[in-house]
Amino acid sequence: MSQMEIKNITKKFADVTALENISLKLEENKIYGLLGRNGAGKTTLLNLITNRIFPTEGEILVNGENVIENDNALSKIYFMAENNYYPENMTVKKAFNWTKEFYTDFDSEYAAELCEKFSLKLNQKIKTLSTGYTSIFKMILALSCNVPFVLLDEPVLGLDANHRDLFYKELLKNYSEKPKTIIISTHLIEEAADIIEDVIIIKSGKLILNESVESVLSQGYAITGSISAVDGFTAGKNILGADTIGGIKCAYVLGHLDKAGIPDGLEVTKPDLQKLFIHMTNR
Amino acid sequence: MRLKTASKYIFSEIKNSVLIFYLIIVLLTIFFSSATSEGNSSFNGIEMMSAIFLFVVGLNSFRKNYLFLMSNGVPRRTQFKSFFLAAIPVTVGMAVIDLALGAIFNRITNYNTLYGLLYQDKTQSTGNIIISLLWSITLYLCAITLGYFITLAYYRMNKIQKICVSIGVPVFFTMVLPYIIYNFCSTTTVNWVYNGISTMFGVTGSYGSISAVAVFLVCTILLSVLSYLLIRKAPVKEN
Amino acid sequence: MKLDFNNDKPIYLQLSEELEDAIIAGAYQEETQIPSTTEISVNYKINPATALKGINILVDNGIVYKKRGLGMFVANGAKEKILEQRKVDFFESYIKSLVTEAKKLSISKEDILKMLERGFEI
Repeated sequence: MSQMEIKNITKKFADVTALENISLKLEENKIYGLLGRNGAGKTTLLNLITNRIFPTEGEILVNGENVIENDNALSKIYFMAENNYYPENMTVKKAFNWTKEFYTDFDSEYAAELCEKFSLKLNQKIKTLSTGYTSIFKMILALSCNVPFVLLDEPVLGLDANHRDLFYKELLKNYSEKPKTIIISTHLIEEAADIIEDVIIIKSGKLILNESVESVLSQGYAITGSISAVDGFTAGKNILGADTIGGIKCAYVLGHLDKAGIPDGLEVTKPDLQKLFIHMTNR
Repeated sequence: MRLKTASKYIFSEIKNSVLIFYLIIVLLTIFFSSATSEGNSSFNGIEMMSAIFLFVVGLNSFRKNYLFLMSNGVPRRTQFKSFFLAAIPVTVGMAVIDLALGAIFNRITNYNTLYGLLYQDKTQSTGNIIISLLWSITLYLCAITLGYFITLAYYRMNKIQKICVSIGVPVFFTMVLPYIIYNFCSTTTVNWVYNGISTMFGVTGSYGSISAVAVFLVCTILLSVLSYLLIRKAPVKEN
Repeated sequence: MKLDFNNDKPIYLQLSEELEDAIIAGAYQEETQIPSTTEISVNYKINPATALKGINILVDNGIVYKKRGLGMFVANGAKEKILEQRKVDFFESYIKSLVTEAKKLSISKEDILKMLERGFEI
């Protein structure tokens, strides 16, 4: 069993509150999507999970152990961070070798196989890689580590469409063959929507949603019609946001929809995760 | 397990520069011994060079390694221990090499070790060799720890603190300290301090070089304790 | 097979329908294997849990069954079963909405019947 518990985490930088009282439980072998707009606090949360920074309040437990300065807990997590902290002249191959020293379950053969698929040269120096290939390099490390928790911060940054496609496929293959808990922090919601099982949304440092994608999608709906009719129907409901074009209004609502109670002239559609996300984080 | 790996990593980072350092030392020695006439060599005491070199190594041993090891999930406490686990064999190795080189250079040219110059001790008894080795080891350890501590301290400081220290320390030593000495200290006080330092390092007085070993050791311990306090809560910073 | 991610229907329902369509079309014969959850998941870039949910609908309806250690196989008489179910669904999903839309556009029953005849002639 591997599970992670984030308990009442607050992080302040000087007088700026980056995260406020976040509590989450990450279950074993699930793919989570960590969504939020720029500066919402996604990376701060991932940095706290890996104890790269210290929380102002609260604690993060891996199998009941606090992660702070905890070798055992930290060796169970691999964080593919946005920044690249590899030495100037280290080659891809060398980095693999060192990673194997730190994460003993690192699968070198698999890593080499992935390099071949993405045509990443083993003898190339890490610092000379393009943005896209740097992402590929870090992602290969993350997939090959075989640890119970893999955190991916913007994993497809700079990747072209073909490589993104290949990445998602390899990620799913890896996950199916060696199940693990994966957290993907991304802006490309549409691409990731069908890959993630649960969605965690952070807005200005606060947790606003932590649910399965399916239930979010089944609960969310868009209702379109004349402004007065839409306003009448949505009164008292949990409205996420609305678009108005001319006299027509389209409101995004979260909650159970009673199909029989829809008045004539109103049309109900199912928005995708991206649309719901935009409206949830826009307010 | 990860302690061993982390120290292996830090050691591998230091190893290459040590090799380059000795290559340069050997080349310099060959150059000097052939350029200057016999018995007229002004080339002495590679220990000082080693100490300065290790100070620089210490300066380069924190930031890069810290970030690399943090991204591999190595706790700070483990990193701290692994630094010393890597530094001790390096200092011991270099002390032995310097002693051996000293003996070789002594045969070729009119070379003196720094230890020999300071303590006027040219007897080659085993006891003396051990003490001179200990002296080099503790000096080197002190130098590398000082470098490590300084970068660590700079890493933990914010911009304003960095500016204050960068300006404050030179100003203190070049202006404030001389001012105090000239205006407020009598010659006897200055002499007393000077003699105190000389005795502490065993150059004068009855304790000999072993006193310096103790001083270096105390400094090393003090600096490492301070370093530990600084690394304990060091966050990963973007820049 | 194709999944439409912009469709209102949940992905797992689309998947089970797509698999049923493939069985009707004969792409998966009875007593032959269908793709594994992993294969489906990787191919369509969907979460394996979603793929499993789609397949489980077929299992619950007796369309496919699990052979231990081998994978999922199309059951005997699966095609018949699907066709029967689809006929029931046909009324629910096509006829009902057809009538509703016709009423909205005030198309008479006779007109619809005429259109149907025309439709069959094509």
